[in-house]
Amino acid sequence: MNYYEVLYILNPNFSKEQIAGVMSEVSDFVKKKKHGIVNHDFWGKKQLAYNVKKHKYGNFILLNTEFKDANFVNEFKVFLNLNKEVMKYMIIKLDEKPSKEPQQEVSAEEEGNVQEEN
Amino acid sequence: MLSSRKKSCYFKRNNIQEIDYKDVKLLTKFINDQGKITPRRVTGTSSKMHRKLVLAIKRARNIALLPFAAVDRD
Repeated sequence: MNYYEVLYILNPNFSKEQIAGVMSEVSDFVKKKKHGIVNHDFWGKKQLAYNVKKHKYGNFILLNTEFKDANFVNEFKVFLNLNKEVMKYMIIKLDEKPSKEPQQEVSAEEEGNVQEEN
Repeated sequence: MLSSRKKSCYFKRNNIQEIDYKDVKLLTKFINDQGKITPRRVTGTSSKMHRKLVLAIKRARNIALLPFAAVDRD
């Protein structure tokens, strides 16, 4: 039993519904194989430090999971690579169980600065 | 005298044990305007915390929260 933290970035021009759609797609993939999800939250639209797929902004989504066997990480990576909506992701192994409550760091000023591109 | 001002570890002072790579506000204190990690001799960070800090900064770079090298955006 291992805990993992996955942070993935979606296209900045996505609407709330499209983001929710991708999130449920990811959740379904994890749940289908009977692995657990601790947190799955939209983290906010942020400016990227460098361009990713020619985008300057990105929708960040944070996922905390509990995988029963470590091989599933590779399967999950393949799934994320094939998913065209996911621009970039990072998977990190956690030492202990993540807390249920997500840290909401989307401050009002940060949201205000974000503008639609193109 | 040479060692008149003693530097102290930021994390020890603020009682921080773990550094989260998602805490961009904290990490930006330890990189310069080029995006490089400030050396220990400048910041005074303890060796233990500096190792954790470096890992957190490198993770943040990987997911585009921090720059690898800062360049003019315009």
